[in-house]
Amino acid sequence: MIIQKMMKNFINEKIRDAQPAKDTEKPRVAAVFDTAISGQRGHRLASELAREQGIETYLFTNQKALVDQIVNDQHQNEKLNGIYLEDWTSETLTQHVDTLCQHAAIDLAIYCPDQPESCGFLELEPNVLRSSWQQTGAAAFYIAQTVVTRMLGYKRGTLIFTGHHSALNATAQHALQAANAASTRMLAQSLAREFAPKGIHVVHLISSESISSSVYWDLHQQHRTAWTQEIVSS
Amino acid sequence: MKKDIALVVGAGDRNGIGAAVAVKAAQEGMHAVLAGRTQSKLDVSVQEIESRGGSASTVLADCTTVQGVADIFAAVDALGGHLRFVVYNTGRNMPAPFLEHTPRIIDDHWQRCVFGGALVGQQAIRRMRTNPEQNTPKNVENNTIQPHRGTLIYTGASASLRGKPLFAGFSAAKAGIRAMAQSMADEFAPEGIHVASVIVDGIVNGALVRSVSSLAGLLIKQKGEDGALLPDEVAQAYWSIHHRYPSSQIRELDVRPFKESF
Repeated sequence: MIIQKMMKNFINEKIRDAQPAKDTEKPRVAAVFDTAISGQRGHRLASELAREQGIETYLFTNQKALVDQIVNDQHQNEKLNGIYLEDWTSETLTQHVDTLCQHAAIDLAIYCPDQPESCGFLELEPNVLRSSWQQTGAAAFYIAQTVVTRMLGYKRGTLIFTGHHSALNATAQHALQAANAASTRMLAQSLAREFAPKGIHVVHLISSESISSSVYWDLHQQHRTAWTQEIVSS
Repeated sequence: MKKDIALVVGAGDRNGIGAAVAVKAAQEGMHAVLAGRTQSKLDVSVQEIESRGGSASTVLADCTTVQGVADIFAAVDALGGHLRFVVYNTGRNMPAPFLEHTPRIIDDHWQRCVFGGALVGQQAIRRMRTNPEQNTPKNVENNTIQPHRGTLIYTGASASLRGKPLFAGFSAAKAGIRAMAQSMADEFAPEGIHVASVIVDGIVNGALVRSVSSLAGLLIKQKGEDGALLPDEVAQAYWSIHHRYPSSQIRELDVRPFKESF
């Protein structure tokens, strides 16, 4: 049975590879998925991209206040849009990304997670472990699935996971943060190996809160003969 | 005096790493507690341990639930000895292309590796903290005493260190618990609690692989003589991490067959 399935996957893949990339008449846009329950990093990155790079940019967030703020400031930054998500489940994401993709093609997608406070390992409650995973680790999977599915048709696109230093160096009082960060790092690495040959650039960017959007933009501009998979910024 | 206790969470068939570690710990004089999901499998190891004059007990529980973990530690507490050696040995590799990872598969990986690992780690450390110190030789260089109250080891895989196509979910979960173990090691070393990861790289010549499909059996054959990991040999590495502490403080090691490419 496993062999049959492998054969089927192999054949489907060959068929897909042989098909030419869909040519899109739709405008190419950027999407920033900020899963943080508070904080301004995703909003700041999306604003900068829209203003400085002139790309139509959509901030997906479940901070209602951010979406309202974007609507209020629309006249100052016309290319910035906010989309409110009730949660980060696969269904909700698919629904909202589908709506966007009726008139746009996501060419640059950025995952931007919450950075939880430090906490003693023994104080981590089961419900905190679980909600943090849903909001950070699992959300990264669903965002990637939603985005990659759509990029595959165009055989192009950049997906950047914003990571954290604890993915490489897990210190005391950061068990949860490190677990989420290391998970996302391996997710990004798996995806790069699976989808780079199909034209999708997957990057893991380790950075602090104050990272500039120009780093993301430079990665997005890289030619496929010299793609970065991992980059560490202080 | 009651024997010190070794707990293996995720002890299955005797021909697996979990059971092999339990048998080893019992041979070394500890009382082994085997936590798993299939009583008949655990019984085989208990019989072997007892037939050699050792002692062991079992607990049936799902270690990915809060209640299951509470049951495991209630069984440990009832024994009355000091819990000094805990091995968390769960996680199942289920290869799938990324876009075929359903929410259920993604969550299952996380629950088996990270969630269960965190719950068991918390309970284990709470108990180890109250253990009397053991092995406290003076460190010659700075004249300090390094206490040892217990060892906690997580079973990892090559996927803990790198992500590959077909293994996104497994790899993310294994890397997650490895990072968590590193943080715990840093946090609890001053109290004499040692946390480590064993990176198992290669096919384990055990019951799980043989039962999954005939393909795995074929794979083992194709690896040739000594091309697959033998659980009892892997168990030696686990034991050395515990036994050598604190003169050697091994936070991570890998094990792989000599002809495995990596």
